[in-house]
Amino acid sequence: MDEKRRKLAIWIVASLIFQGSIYLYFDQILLAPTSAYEVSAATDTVAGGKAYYSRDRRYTAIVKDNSVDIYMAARKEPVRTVELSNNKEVSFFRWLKDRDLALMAVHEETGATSSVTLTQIHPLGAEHELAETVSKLPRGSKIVDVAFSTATNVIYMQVQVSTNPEQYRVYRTDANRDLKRVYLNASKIGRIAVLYDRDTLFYDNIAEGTVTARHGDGSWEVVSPPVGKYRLVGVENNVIYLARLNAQGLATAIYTGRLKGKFAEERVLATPMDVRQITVQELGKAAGK
Amino acid sequence: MIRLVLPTNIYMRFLVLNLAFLIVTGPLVVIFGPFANIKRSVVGAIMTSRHPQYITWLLSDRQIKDIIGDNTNHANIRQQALKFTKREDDSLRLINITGGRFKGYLLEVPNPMRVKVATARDIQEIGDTVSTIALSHNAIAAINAGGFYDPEGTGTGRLPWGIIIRDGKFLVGGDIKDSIDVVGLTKSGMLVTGNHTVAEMRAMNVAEAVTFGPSLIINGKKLITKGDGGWGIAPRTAIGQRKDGTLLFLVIDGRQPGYSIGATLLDVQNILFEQGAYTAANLDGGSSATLFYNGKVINKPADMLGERMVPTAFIVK
Repeated sequence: MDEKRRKLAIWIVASLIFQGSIYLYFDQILLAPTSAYEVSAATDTVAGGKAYYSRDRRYTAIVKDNSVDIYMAARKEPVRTVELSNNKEVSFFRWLKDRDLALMAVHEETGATSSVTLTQIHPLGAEHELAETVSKLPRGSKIVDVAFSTATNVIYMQVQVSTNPEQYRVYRTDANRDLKRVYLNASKIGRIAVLYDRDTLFYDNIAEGTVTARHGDGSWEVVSPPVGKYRLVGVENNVIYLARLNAQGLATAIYTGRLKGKFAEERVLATPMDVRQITVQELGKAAGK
Repeated sequence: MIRLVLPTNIYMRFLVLNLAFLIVTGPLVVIFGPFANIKRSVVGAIMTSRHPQYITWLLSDRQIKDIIGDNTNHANIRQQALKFTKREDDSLRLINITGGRFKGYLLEVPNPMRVKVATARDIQEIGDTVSTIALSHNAIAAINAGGFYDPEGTGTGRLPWGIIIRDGKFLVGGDIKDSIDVVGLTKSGMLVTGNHTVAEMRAMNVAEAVTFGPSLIINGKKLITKGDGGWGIAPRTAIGQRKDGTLLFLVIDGRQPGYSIGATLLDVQNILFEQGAYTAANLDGGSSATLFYNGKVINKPADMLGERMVPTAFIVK
């Protein structure tokens, strides 16, 4: 009997200690209001700059004013750094959609004039990278947009030559490295775009509210509908996207059409917005394409 | 007749009987026992879960408030304006945070002007993952931001709560009459948190903002001074700002025993305070807690399927 009592007492005491320990561990350690912690710096510090991702997210380019760092997603060290001298600045960077290659635009002040250069960038570096330079431009000029097609090998560069008043020029080059200025019927243009399989440049005349197509042979035509004011959103798979503007100059609807075809309203925007905030890529995603 | 079959090994028998006793008596000990931290964590977790009725039938509002603390929004505290000069070094810096019960990351963003609110493509239809939002905006880093209606935990990230302000414009909630929790940035890059009306937000020049809370630090003072914040232990996302303007993105993983079970609001407040935050606020946590950095998600979101769809993110352009 005494033995049984002793065993029972041991069981009860052991149970109290066991269960009390569990409750105390939860109460004082695991579920305490706050927990001690340590900090340690991770190794992957990314310098400031704007990020651009290549077609398959394999490469990330961090673009700053005077340099471009290219990282491989799986690594933390840059695989390539493009350093520019202090008097050069990056004004444009874009990865190509179908290959691991990027285009970078740099501008440089040389006395009273500027020069702008568009160069190809191989993520892992290359012995020689092709570049086109336009010299003797007004001081402060820079490439702000580039439209190109890997099918036709035509590249159009939109160069801002003045900010006040806002003025632009467009230069064209192709597989023959034939660099020349393209004369337009407007100096204040918004965006530029090209057809995929034909040398046709689209640009919008901000002052008139029209969108024009300029063909490789120099001929041109207004493609935007005759009623209302329009801005170019972009061209994707040869479909031309336009934004119809209200009296305040904000986009209220998106129109789509093709060259030599009619434009139709594709959607009305719930809230009028700045055309610069609308991209073909976003429109395509929103439509589930 | 049911016979209880017990192991013959005395130690196993002891263990099985004790665990059975623990399971039977546990709820009573937790709710009515002397263990304040267990009580607060369990009640807080239930109250912030989708099933508060599990506890509200048992305890009155007063008792619940006594247990988890009064988690007000400190609406009467007004932030002092911060003015900062842009730091020379614009590099983002990632810091590992390792606690007794959690693992997480803190990202320093020296230039607050690089931080914007970005939304899913169609926030009224469906959310997007933080990485999708970040990649579509060419962001170098991003964290999930505001809350959304999440019926039965199956919300698709659509229908955001409260307000969304981007580039100074109300995308959602511009017509809300009452004051509402706001976490955002002014045009000059100052982090704003607290309870504000739409008119106040406009007057403060709030340029990028979402709705969530609670505020954790205002004017350099901790706001949780009693208890653990009342929301239990869970994955957390929070944002803070140092006096020099540097923004701090904090993401703590949770709900993953053996790796990280999560943090209390007090943990989050303490981490941000010790990292120099002068202002800080909690953002949507749980399985939404995500930190995207340099092309990939670097934390471990608490969901079998990975990242949750959310309506909004704070992105670093």
